[in-house]
Amino acid sequence: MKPAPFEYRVVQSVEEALELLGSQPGEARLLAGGQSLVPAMSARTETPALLIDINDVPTLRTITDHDDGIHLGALVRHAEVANNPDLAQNWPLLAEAVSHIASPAIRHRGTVGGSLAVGDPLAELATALTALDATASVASVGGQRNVPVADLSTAPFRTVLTAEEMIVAIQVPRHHGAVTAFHEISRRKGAAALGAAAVRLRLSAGTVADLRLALSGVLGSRLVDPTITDARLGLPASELASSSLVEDATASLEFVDDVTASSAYRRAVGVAALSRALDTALERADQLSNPA
Amino acid sequence: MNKSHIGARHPRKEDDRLLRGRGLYTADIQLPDMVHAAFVRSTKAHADLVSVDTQRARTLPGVIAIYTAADLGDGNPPLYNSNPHPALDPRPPRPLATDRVRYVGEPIAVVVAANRYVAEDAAGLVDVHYRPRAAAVEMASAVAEDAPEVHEGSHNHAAEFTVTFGDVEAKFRDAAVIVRGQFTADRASGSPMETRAVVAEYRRFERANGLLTVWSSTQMPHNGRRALAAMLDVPQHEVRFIAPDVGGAFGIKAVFYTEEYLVPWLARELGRPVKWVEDRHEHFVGSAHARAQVHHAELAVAADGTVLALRDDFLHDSGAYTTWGIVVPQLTAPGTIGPYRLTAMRVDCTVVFTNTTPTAAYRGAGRPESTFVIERLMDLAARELRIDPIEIRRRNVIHRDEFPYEFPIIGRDGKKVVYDSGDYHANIDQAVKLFDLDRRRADRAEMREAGRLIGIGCAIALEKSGLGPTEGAMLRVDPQDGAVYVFTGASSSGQGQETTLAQICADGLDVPVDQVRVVMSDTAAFPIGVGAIASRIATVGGNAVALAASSLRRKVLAVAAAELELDEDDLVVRNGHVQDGNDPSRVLSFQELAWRAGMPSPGMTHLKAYGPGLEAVEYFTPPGVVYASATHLALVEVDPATGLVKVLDYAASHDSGTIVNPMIVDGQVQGGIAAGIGSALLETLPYTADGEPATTTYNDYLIPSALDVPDAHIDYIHVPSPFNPLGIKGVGQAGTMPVPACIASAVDDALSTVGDITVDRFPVSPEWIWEALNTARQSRATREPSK
Repeated sequence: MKPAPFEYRVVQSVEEALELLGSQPGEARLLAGGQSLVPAMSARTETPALLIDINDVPTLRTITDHDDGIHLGALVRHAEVANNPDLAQNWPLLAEAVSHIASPAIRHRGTVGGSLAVGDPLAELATALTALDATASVASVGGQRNVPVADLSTAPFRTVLTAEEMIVAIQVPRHHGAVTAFHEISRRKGAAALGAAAVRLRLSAGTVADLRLALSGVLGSRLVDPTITDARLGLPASELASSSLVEDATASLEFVDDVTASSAYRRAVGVAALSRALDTALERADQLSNPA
Repeated sequence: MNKSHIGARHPRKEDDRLLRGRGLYTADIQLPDMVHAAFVRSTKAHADLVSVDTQRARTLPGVIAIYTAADLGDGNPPLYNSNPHPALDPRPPRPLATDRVRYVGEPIAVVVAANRYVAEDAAGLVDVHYRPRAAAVEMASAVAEDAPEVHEGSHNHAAEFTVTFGDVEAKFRDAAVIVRGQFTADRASGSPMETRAVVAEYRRFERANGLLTVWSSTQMPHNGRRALAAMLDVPQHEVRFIAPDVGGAFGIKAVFYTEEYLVPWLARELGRPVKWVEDRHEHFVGSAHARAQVHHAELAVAADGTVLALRDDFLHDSGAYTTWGIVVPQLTAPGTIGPYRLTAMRVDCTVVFTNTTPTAAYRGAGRPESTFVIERLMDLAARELRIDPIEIRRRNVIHRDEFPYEFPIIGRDGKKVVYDSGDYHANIDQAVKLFDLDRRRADRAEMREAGRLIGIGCAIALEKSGLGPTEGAMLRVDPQDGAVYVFTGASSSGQGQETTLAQICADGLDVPVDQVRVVMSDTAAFPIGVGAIASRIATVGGNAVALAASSLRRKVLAVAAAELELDEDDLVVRNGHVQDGNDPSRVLSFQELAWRAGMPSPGMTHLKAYGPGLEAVEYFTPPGVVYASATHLALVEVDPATGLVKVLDYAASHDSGTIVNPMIVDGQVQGGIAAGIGSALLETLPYTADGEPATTTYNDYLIPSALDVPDAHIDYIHVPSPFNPLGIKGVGQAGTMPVPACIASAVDDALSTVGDITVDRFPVSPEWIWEALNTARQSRATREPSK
């Protein structure tokens, strides 16, 4: 398990990284936290000719507040997401999701951008960011485009990113008055999930004013069809659980089928994760409107 | 004898170096001029090797040599068979595959290069042309009439044997109840933290034909020397085998592997030290797998719950070769008796070849399987007869007054099966107390009221341990530092044997434990040895040390009596010194005694009555095996929506006879339970229908972490074995053996409020439980349509 020969370059700026990335399309890979790429290179399932180390690019490492929300540089580590007080205050869903990622060692190396770029259908952050309507800023030599995180991965380990593109930042909008919840189900702590669900919910005078759901372990987009969730707007919170929301939300989803679990079983897991995340969100919404 | 050291929680002597990162593992060894090996391994489960072309690989800069089977010529003999048996049709592999490969991972060629990176680059350039054959993957289909044969003429039967006694037919005729089932143990990996590794160096001008020194992460260095010398046809004293610090072994490092032959062979051939360190992918396909049995078993029971007879017909998967003989199924077959007063049994075993990685022993070695069979049947009988599961066990276990208890069958060690000692009732009683069973049952009732699926399970296992044939020890007091050196053929794979043996030595001689140095796991330290298998080092090695200590003590007294001009009866040995019992000022240290017992000046005549040197050698050759026992109780919760099992609480009562170091034994039991929980709930190595291993990383092969294993309530009863002077029984595997059965028992109980479900396999996946729950709910809905 030693990687095949490769050229290794350390870059100081996004421009430099993009130029190198564009110079050998398909042959070059970006090294961020390396928690997926490096083991794959050691197993020689990934054999890039050129490895572009972006860890020294300062602009990729920042967490900055904006009027419209918060911007996470692509190199922000999972552990930084978990420990950032502003994120904890306003986007607690992210830290909740991060707590399920592997082990502390991996959370200290792995990055937000790297996780999204891998396109793992069971990744926690993509699920949480989808429920928060986050957007990825994707750059190439030709320019920059924004891709909703919900649309980033098209199939397991496939993304809409071209070989010349890199994720530079993730914008997470504010959701004033909303509560969130994340529930993951796995066979063992720290192991890949069987499935997980993220919920964003805002109540107004006891009725649903905003609702977004996302599920991991599915093929294609993790976002539950917004027409299903929007159909519950105006519903009293007390009726949400009994409104066949979970059944409707999961009915049209296709779940991953692999050596660990069948898709039928993953559906059951998805239903359980979503029901539980929804219960937690409703409890939190209740606490928000009726603080003890 | 002074017992101040035996029974003490002495900190491990090994920990100072291991916890400071100063251990020496095989991979740490660096030698001048050393080169690195990598293997080309089969990517096909079953295929003819049409050609193996190394031309492209040879041209890569940094490549030193490449060998295929053809290049090895007569240097490619069948691997040494450590465990011959009359029932076995031995099919050992050759170090490199010749004309056919039989499992994914089988070595085809070896590359030697300046470093491991280049070696792997070159291995990737070796062109192997396969002509695929149909593969035999599942045991049940491999024994079918028209199955593809792994070995010509074998019909995929590696061995068949039967263990039987009593009138089985009659007992089944008389039974009030017969319970039966199919029970499956999935394939598992030993997963030591340190993978295997071999370093070899050849010194041409040492010994008559040169000396081969081999460092290998093995449990059995002396067996390694025997195997390598046999395969190279050189005298054993021209091979030195060393197991440096070993980071876990668990049975799978008992095997003598291809790499342990080829790396030394390459070192001799090339005249340069060669290193190979197994990577984790190689470990998953190239190191022995384990478990992999399917049983069809039934138990005949009288109306009062008395067990009458057992019938079991099982398949054991040998994988592609007979790597560990039939040792494991030979442990399983009599193991199905368990602690019970069975009066008749018949166990038929077929050992099957499949196109999968060969199997060997892994912690428990066939007994997690046998325990699962008998304990599941006991639970089924209890359910059928409406007897409390613990009560039915109490009614059937052998009574403390009945030992030694003999069964008229021959065991794996070649002798009649005799349980040496035990008190199974006391062990059950203590487990019940540790678990606080009455309170747990009340908790269960309360939690069930709240709709939770909560279950309590129990299981008993016997650990046949302390197997022969022998271990020896030479004790020597060093005249320079006064330390007592223990040189022994017993070995260690990280279980703390240096400490255990030092405590026994310290006890026998009355010296501080810190004054004892243990030198082991090296054929040059002591010439005869067996190794760290079968939970035998404390029992067999420990008693050898005790005998040698007692012999050395006699020598110490003889020397001291002569030097102090006193009768031995007037001497007192205390804390590394010998003193005049009537005049404590007249005292000699062991160091002083060793110096005096050493040599007078060169050329002088030795005038003392005692012989030279303060040393003694003894062997312990046990008369039979010893049976440790364990009773486990578990509290689990099943998630009704997902089938996931959480182990809420766990209690374990063990009898390992005399315990030398309770801290080390606690670690063995707790660690054994952790491994058992992995076997019960998580660990499996599935293959695709084509024989591709589907699990080759720790992403898919889940071993429990500290977060998944409860801190078990552990305590002991102490029934010393009459089969060795110290009364020790083994403990390395007893922690693991009952766990799969115990968890299955608890899961059944948790599901019992939904339906009658029997967990018949380990591991049991959450998906299996979820499906069983769905089926039970549907059948209940059908039965009670109005509700």
